Amino acid sequence: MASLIFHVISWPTFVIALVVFGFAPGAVLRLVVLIFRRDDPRRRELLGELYAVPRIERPFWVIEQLEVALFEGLRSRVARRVPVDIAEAGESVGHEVEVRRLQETLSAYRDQIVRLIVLDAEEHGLEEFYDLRIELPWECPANVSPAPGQGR
Amino acid sequence: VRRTYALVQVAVALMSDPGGRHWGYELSKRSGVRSGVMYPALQRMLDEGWLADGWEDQPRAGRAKRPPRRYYELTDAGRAELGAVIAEARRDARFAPLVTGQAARGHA
Repeated sequence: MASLIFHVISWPTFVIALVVFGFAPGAVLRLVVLIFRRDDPRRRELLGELYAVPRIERPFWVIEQLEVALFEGLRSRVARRVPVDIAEAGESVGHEVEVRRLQETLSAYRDQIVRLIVLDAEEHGLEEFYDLRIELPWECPANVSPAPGQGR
Repeated sequence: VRRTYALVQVAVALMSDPGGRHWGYELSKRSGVRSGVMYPALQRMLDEGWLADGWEDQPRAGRAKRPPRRYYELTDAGRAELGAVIAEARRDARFAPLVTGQAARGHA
């Protein structure tokens, strides 16, 4: 514990802290504003404001901006990302609906064609067609994709 | 916009000079609101059209060897809305001391 305290208050640590927060708050702030989106005017605004802050207050002001950036910057990034995710999910769902509708249409055509063939076969006494079945690719058990959340 | 302590404090600071340009750091000092709370409040006011923003002239910033600063100005709608916010705050027991205290400090 004593050695830990010694390291915390050691001269190199103190000098580094002084340089980072005391003499280079601008450099630290430049890193902090990267949390904001590229097109967020807050990036430029905070860099401009730094020089209006009295030098003695700058380290504390920069730390305060880290809080602002973490809450505001990250939130705006997440807020922008979520609608994109929803839209992408919507597109995916929309695609599945389209495919299912197409499959249903083709199945309906198949049923009508089979019915016509069977009727024709009955007229001509062709018994081998009485029990005609045509399976479309997505109706074969091997081709049926599992429902979401279920394995094959 | 929800009426909060921070909103009322920023409104009072802005309305102390309704036609002037307001700069972030000075506004924070004058209103006594931390920048972590003030900037989101300013953003909401911008979204509502109560404030307009702009950037300091590049030559002026260049002479001072620093990036240009962003300023905020009250719009006509903003003056009306923030005036109403302050008037309402004066009537509200929760905000009244805040508004009168700020006003007293502003006039001092």
